[in-house]
Amino acid sequence: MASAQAGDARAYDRLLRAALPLLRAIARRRISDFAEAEDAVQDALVTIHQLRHVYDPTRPIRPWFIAITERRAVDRLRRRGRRAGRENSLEDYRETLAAHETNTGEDRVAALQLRAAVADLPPAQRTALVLAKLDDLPLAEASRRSGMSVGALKVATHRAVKTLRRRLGAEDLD
Amino acid sequence: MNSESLIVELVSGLGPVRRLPSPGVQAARWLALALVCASLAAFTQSMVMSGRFNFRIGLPMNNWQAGLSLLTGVAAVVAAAFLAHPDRPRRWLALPLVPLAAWLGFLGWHWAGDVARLGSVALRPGMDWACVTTILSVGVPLAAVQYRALRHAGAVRPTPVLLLGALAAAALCSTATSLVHPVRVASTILTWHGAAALMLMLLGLVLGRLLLQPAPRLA
Repeated sequence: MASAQAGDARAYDRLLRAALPLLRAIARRRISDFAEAEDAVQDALVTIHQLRHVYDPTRPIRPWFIAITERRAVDRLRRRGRRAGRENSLEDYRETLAAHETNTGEDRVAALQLRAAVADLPPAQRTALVLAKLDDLPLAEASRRSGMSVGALKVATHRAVKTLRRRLGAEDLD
Repeated sequence: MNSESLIVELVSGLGPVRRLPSPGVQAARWLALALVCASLAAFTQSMVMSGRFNFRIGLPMNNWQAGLSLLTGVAAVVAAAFLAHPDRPRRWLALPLVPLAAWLGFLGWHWAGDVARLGSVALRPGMDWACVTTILSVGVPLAAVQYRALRHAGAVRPTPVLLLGALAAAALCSTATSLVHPVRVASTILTWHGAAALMLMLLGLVLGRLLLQPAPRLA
């Protein structure tokens, strides 16, 4: 380092390359993420370069490297901690805002699709579905109101449900 | 960029650098400057207050107060200069704690004596604007000079160096003002000198960073 302070670029190059394994070992002991640890090593290299005029050549160089690298690694960890506290993963949350009212868009779209699909059903199937399933009437009452037999009502309801399933893509999920 | 490429970049165009003096020499230089400035400020304060230079070292409490604050200031600046070097151990931080504790302990003990002797009168701190003004007006530039000299601390240990630098400046200014403006009630010194020192440390912590070298951030 004394030669580097005097401007000897070769000696400086040799010193920094020789120190690199030590710097990496210190950074990786602190930081598990490989890329983050390498960034800390590079921060340490720049700090060593900035402070090369401060180093006293009568003292050992190893504690100098260790102290600077430890410091840069701790800085990296703190910054990562602060960043992690501020950020949330978008994949985990589909809501746009915290208020409940702002997150009902998908439900509304689904309701509209269901209404449109029911409206598109053949009249007999639509009547059977509305009376037997949506209005939840007893079969005898539904039969009386629709003028269909109980058997025909059951078949029409079954077909209506099957048509809706096909139309809304529910069968793909089975 | 990988670390090997960074080394190539750092090495290219490397020039000689002027080595910094040792921490002991740095501390001694600042102490010399601080003692001259604080003495001049005390002289000015004395002239403004009484029209002549009153150097009062007769009161035992004042002598102790001045001696312990001087010791605290010297210890703080030595500790700051050593802590600014990355390879020096953190235990340098403890050096000024002993005289600081003795200084505060002495004032506290004297204050308790005042309370026993004078009663509730001793609980009311008198105004001491002259000392507060001197401590702040001289302490701020002195601390700034020290931060500039120890700016390399910004990359490694900014906070302790900022606090110790301000403490050193405040303690030495307190010494100088005590020698020309003796205060007989310990609560006055505790309150006003303490408040000025705390204010200076707070200012140093907040604004002193601007004078220090920032730590590098590559990404």
